[in-house]
Amino acid sequence: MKKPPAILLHRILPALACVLMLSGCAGIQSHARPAPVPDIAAGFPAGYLPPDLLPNSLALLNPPPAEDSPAFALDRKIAAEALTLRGTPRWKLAVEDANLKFPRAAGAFACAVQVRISEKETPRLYTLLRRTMTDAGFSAYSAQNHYKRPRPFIVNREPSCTPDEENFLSQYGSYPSGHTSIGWAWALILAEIAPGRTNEILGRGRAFGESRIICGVHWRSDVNAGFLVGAGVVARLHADPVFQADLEAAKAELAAARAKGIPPLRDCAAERAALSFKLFPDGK
Amino acid sequence: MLRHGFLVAPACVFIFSGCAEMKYYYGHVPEIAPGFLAGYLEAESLPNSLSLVNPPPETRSHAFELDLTIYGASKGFRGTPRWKQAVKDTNLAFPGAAYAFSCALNAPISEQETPHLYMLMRRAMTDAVLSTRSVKEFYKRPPPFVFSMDPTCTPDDEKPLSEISSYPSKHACIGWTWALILAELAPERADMILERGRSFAESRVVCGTHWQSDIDAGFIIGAGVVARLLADSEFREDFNAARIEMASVRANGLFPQHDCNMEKAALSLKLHPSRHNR
Repeated sequence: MKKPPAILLHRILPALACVLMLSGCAGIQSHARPAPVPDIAAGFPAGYLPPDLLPNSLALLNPPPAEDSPAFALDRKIAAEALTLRGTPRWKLAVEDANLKFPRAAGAFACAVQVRISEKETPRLYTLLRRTMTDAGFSAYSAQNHYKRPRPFIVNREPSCTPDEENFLSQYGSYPSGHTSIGWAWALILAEIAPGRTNEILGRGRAFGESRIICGVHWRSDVNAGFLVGAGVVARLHADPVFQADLEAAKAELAAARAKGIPPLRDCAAERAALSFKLFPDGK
Repeated sequence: MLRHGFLVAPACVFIFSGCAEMKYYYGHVPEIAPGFLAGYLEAESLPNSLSLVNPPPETRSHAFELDLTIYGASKGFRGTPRWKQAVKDTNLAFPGAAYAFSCALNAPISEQETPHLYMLMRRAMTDAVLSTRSVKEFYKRPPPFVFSMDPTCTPDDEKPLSEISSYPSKHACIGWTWALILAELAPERADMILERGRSFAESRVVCGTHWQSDIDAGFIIGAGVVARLLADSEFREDFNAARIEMASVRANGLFPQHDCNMEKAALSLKLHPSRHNR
């Protein structure tokens, strides 16, 4: 069974009880500002679901590659190739994608969606992204904690794209990639909200996961596993009425923001150029 | 209070629209091929899978070595209950195809007992199949049985299967599409359903008809298909009706129409049992 960190669990359960009480009205008023959601850690709001209701990544995933396996050889090969990308535009995008702090992180899919995503312009969508980040991150935890797989920057002794975060990241197992679970969850949710941009959004979700390989903080197999977890989380979230209410409100917000023609804050031409680089040009 | 309101609202919709829906279901969904109903999405609304998935592994790559290794390990399952389950999982013809997720859902899935869910699975299957088409037509990757000359779990299907690309796996895409829909429908069974989605896909490797990387690509496309389906109003209508059906299935204590112990035993044999296998 999955066991989230005790401290977070102590904080998250009382927090969630509040959420359920506070958010009753949010489910009805689709255009209202989001109901307040307590933080479970500095800057991180509670998710929609308590961890024990999220998909159990340990049950869902196959074990990570053994050290002497062909799967690990492939992981190493891809990691070595990723090292050659340092300093390139794709690497810089990977550095940007590493940042899960809001408001900055809200912009990760803005170019793909072609709308500014901010607390001011799209408050319910902003909340939706922040809370689902917590759910998608937690869902990855049971497998991460069980396998405690060492990350590429530890095995390779090569610096990652975010040297300041290596100590923090070392506390969490590499398998599966939590960022990938988060990015893929965001992509699937945003594709539902903005179906006209499905291809751009899903492509961005895929690249967001691959950014972790380029950063040297995750193996290829971690990222593949993250895609499964993220999809499972989104399926489970859809059965939650508070999530559904935020999702519906976000659709209206996005349509309004699009009608107003508010452009993303990011340099979308630069992002597009960075994304034209493919990590797997020949299927390796 | 919240949950109460959530359940009552769709119930009202159902009562008012019940008659119209039944007529719609059995009269107006055309077949696009014998036994295959039209999907929900127009061709231009399906995710562009060719831009979404990476190319398949080249023959002399590390990724292909990995595919070969996993395929080699899967051959140990021949004749076992896991192999027999893989044979069952090949069936995409209804009503039999619906059984694949019945145990995971812990409910019957049939035209009689869950007509809306049955329809939902049939139509979503078509969307999943069609969304893999552009990739299959582009890459033309030979499946394991063509590469190895080993027999597959379904010898009668080998000729047609040898003529289409094994990348990406259609079954994996369908199975993951179904799993994600069903996990939303029955959240209390989400873990069992998602795991079944994975094992359904892995059955293709066990069968000798797909490589592991074919399956991984199918998972990506399947998730994209479901995201797009959720934005489709006709799909949502059917989904909401299926939700009412599930509530009734649970209230009436209905269970899968076949023996789940055999499936459970078969699936306890894992394609990736230990760290050494992968």
